[in-house]
Amino acid sequence: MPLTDETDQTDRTRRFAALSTRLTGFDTVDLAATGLVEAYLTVAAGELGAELLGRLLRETPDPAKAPADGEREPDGDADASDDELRSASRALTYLWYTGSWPGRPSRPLSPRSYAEALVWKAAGLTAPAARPGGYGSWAEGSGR
Amino acid sequence: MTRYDVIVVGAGVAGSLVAHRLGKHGRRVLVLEAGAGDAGARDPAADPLAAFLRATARTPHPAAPWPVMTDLAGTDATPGYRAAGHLRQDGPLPYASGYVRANGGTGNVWTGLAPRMLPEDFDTETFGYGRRWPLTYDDLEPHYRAAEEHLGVAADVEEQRAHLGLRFPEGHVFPMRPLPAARLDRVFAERLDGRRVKDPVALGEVELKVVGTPHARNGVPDPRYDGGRGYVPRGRDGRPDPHSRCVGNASCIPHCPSYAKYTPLKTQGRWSASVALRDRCVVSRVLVDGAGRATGVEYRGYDGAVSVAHADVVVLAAHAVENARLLLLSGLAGRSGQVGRNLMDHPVLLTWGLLPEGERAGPYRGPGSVSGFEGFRAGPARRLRAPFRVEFGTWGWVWAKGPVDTDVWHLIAERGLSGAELRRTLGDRLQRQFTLQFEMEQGADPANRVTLHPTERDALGLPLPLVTYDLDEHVKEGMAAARAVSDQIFALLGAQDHTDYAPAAAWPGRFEHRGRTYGYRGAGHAAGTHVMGDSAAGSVVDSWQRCWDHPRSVRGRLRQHAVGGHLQPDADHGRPRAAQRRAHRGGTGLPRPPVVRRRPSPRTRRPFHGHGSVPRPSE
Repeated sequence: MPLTDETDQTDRTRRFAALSTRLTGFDTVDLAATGLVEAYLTVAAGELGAELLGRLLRETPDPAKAPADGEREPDGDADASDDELRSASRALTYLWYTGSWPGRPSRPLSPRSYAEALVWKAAGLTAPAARPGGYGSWAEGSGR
Repeated sequence: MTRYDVIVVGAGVAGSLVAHRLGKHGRRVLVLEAGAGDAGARDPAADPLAAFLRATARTPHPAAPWPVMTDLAGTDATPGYRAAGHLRQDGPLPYASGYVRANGGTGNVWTGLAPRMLPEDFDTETFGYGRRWPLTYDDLEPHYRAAEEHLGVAADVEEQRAHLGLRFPEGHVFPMRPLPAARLDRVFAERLDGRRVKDPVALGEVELKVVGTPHARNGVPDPRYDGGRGYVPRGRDGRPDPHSRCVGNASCIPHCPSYAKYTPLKTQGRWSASVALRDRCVVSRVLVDGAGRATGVEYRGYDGAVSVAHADVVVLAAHAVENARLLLLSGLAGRSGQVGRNLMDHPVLLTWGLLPEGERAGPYRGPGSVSGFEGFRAGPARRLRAPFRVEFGTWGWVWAKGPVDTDVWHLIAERGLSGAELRRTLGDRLQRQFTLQFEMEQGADPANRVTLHPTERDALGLPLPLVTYDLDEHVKEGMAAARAVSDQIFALLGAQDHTDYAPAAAWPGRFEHRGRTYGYRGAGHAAGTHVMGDSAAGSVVDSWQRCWDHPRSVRGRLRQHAVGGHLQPDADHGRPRAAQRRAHRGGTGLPRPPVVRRRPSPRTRRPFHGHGSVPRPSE
């Protein structure tokens, strides 16, 4: 593989990891530890298309300015593009937190996606059936 | 071979136990199971997580369908639900529980709680409702003990005596010591033990006391068991495994990867060589001779091919709905007019919320419920409202709202959170979530019934079951009392109540009562449909589960009761399972063997806990 491609790929992965960190609140070390950064980059490219993913990697809208559903402002072209980015950001955040792409039925992409879903880590827990804490561990308050 | 001593229809809890007992006595037994033999949990090569994910994804086969939670949806119309799957319905309210047609049956996906019924449950006619059992607690007590040994039950005998008024033989202990209380149980005990709450329906007060529930899951063996001989837990396929323990997978529904929870597959692992299982065989008719004695069954393969097998005795152990359907298909046991009637469940009122800021419920770390409040099960209040158990739900809001993915989506899409704020809010919310599960006793009502659908057929051409179901005033008043109790508990805890029976689509079981809206799920504790009694005129089977009309031949499975009580020795209010274990009474028409002592439900779906919408299993 030519060096430039590899550099591009690495750079794209790095930008994807940085984007994922902004969206999830987990740092790049935590995300790398899941072993899923490359896999999710591939999923995102497949689900969003190269063009939208490229825009997302370049210009993530500021989440702090994102209106919640039901608080929308009047639409315009700029808004439509923003909406597209916002919806892509949400889907990607959901992927990291649950291991599945939004939409029903919700199925984790792989056993690893299931076990590494950030929703459990956010609460200091582990996914059911993934890494049990041992007899009586349910008496304790938080994750190991 | 097509000739057997006994044919058992259904390889669930009751069928597996009956076959086990008969096989031990050398009988040639054929067990016919409608579902697939491999429940997705037995591949020795499978790693625990893969097995769990496969069990989670298990779906019915078109030739042997069963009700799944997606079959039932709420609507804004009247009636407020739509039932479009295997189990059709036409009653005012939905029967909200499912069941599984797979080897091991619904017992694969039960929660694993094994409380006994109370002595007074056997005669609710005293309280003015239901039907008296042709049995008493004391008649059943030795069989409870035998069942607790076979399943491997962990509980504290003193606690059961003191807080439930249950009678045990002097010196008796359970096979295993009680499981450690969950963190949530300790929070409740600290805040609520000794506090009194008002029951506005029965106009009384009840003192709250956190009590551990008996569990059919492995804990620490009690060396005092069986006169000091102790107990050896059983693990995968029922093999003795002294070190088998519940390790807190928190995935009991649908699958326990550590094999600490009892399932019928453990019983099957202990079958003698004279017991044969044939799966993917849908029994379509029980055959009888001119004298009304059962001679065998007709069954169909998934390709529609029809076969016949013969036996001296036929045991029906195919679940309350399918047993009734099979009797009706066969035109049998019709003299009393009671076949299919008296369908019961434990309708469950759920309330859910968040512990106060800074408090942790410790969810998703062990069994789905470890302890409960038992103070609403007994006494004269039953005259005015259904009695109920209160289970503490330790898997967040999964039964009420679905898997945690729904929380994630709510915070991302509806509240627009992301980054550090999302992480913090989600973590905090999950850690504080808990559910109260009020499991109502439902008395025998002939109007709640299973019939054959007049026009709709399954893939094999057999009429689908049709259920007509409702909740009577007694149960609705029980729910009203439960909601009032819940409100007081939330206030005492300083907890935020998030209970909301909306959207309509997610709550097929929804009704208005005295100006307040209630939503319920089904506990998966089907019972009734071949009611037990003292005479052929008013019941389908006798107290040995022998069919009056077909003596020494067709028997209903051991889960039928002439109940009024919580017919559930096994579940929440005592679920039906322990009653099934009356297999130990040998409802088989064979010489009754002596009861020999001492040998011998993430992505957590709980479909059979009737999770209607939950993006489910029955106890």
